[in-house]
Amino acid sequence: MSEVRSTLLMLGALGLLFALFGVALMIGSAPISPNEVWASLVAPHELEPWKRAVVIDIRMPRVLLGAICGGGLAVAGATMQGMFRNPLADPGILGVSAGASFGAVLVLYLAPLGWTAAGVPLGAFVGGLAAAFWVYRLASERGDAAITTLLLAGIAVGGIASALTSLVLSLSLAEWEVGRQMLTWLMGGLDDRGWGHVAIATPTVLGGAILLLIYGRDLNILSTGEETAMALGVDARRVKRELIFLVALVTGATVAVMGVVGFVGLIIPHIVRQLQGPEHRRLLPLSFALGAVFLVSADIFCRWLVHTDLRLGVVSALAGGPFFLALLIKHRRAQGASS
Amino acid sequence: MSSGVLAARGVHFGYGRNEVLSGVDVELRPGELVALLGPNGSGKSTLLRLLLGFRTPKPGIISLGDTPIGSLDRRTIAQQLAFVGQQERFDFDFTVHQVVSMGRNPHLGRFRAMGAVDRTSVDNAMRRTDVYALRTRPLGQLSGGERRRVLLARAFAQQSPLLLLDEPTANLDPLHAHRVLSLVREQVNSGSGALVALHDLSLTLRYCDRAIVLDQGHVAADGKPHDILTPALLASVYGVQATMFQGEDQTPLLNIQGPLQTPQA
Repeated sequence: MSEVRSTLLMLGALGLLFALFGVALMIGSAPISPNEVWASLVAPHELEPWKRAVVIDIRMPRVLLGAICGGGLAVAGATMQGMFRNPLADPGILGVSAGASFGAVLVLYLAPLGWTAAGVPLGAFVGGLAAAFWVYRLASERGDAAITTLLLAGIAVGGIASALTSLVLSLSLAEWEVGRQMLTWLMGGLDDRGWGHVAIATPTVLGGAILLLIYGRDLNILSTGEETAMALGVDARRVKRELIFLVALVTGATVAVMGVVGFVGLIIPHIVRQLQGPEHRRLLPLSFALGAVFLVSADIFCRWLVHTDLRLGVVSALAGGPFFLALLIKHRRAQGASS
Repeated sequence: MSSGVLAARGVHFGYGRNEVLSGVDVELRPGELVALLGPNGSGKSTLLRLLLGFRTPKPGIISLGDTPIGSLDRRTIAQQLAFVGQQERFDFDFTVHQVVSMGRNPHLGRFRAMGAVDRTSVDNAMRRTDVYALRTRPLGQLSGGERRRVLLARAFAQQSPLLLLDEPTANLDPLHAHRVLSLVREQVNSGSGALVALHDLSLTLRYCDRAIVLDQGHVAADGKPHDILTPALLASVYGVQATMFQGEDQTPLLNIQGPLQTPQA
């Protein structure tokens, strides 16, 4: 019964994702018809070169990147919520997003302008992984990291990294262009992203998310407590270490290619849990699909308002926040009615 | 690996400078139901954690069969030893069936789905503990007694020859406490061994083959419950005044009058 339900949900989410792909390839400052989008995929040589370039080189990597990163963040969030046994955990809970932000603004501040295209993703990626590694080292004792200590260390390291980001920002405000670049980057976005970014995101974000899917059963058991997990044959220490590494990889690489986009990793797993329960072997893949749907939709919305400087991170939070609140209120009413 | 005896030999353990266990020797064999008794803070939970390999004694040895438990991986241990903790908390709304199915984890790899044997084992465990009718309900909607039986079903589905339970009757009314222990008794009668941390001495006398009494980190007594639970032992370990008498069906009964009266100087 519930397996049928989650299969249907998965098929629905994938169908929606493909429909959104089509829409995302059509819209933009140069409208392209559905037939032309189709032609660009099956017979690209029959299309005018500029239209082909718009679809294949500009819109397609952008849409793919949005789908990969949205899905990756949702899977990373679901993993952290399961591991921390806390529905408020998000992919940045280990300080990864804050560390990656600091890495990126530091590169923007120090590197000569020509180097930033390659340097910013690299700086973000290194900063994110370094933060996670530091958090893990702070929290671990004899090869084991206690969950509460990880949480506190994540908050502390994240706070320090945010403060350092603000410091670099305030130092660079004198230089208008550098400061503007930093702020734009920090708000997250998919504009001007190309196949190079997809090439970075595929092994890291998509690869990491696929590896996380393998941990579904371990996460089910780990989410009922570490001692229970060990008694049921899960090597909790090793699994936690591997999950932390994979989440840091996925989140760090996401921030590297598109900046900080909040809320996806928090709300998507919530929605999926309400739709089909906490079973992680189904929760993780459906989170990926819906995370992709959410971010591609948010990006389509951003591009509709292309003449304003609306950023993806802003849209994600503005759309996600109220939706999340509505869910909470509905959930509370349902609980009130049943008790 | 032979499914054998779980044993602690000369086990010491402490948190910081505070030594909780000092030189403990205990054994658990298949086919016996053993109560682990002792006042709060006497080291019962700590001993269970050491026996499960969650923590390492220093010094001392925990062995499962002929093998030191530290050299076994968690899956191998879980195939031999099932455990139900004192206060297992569920933060997500898993259904009864999902929780009981977790008991099959030690027999499944990461990539293997549950097969016919696993499903039968889960169904049987739910039927025996009388939670089959609740199988689609989330755990959060159950009463304390039902929840305890679900956790017991998870341990039964694990089908390991030895079972460790940390106060499985805590916070249960007398009926549910008896139901839990009689389920454990049935499991032991079918060949398992069980070590159960308990506070209830009358349940111990009724259901258990043997009792181990811990007092301040030492084994104060180890033997048949009605032989060792003497008024003198209860006075020295629990500090209570008690008398023992025979019930109608020849079972020994304990009457605990209250705190020990110390002679006034």
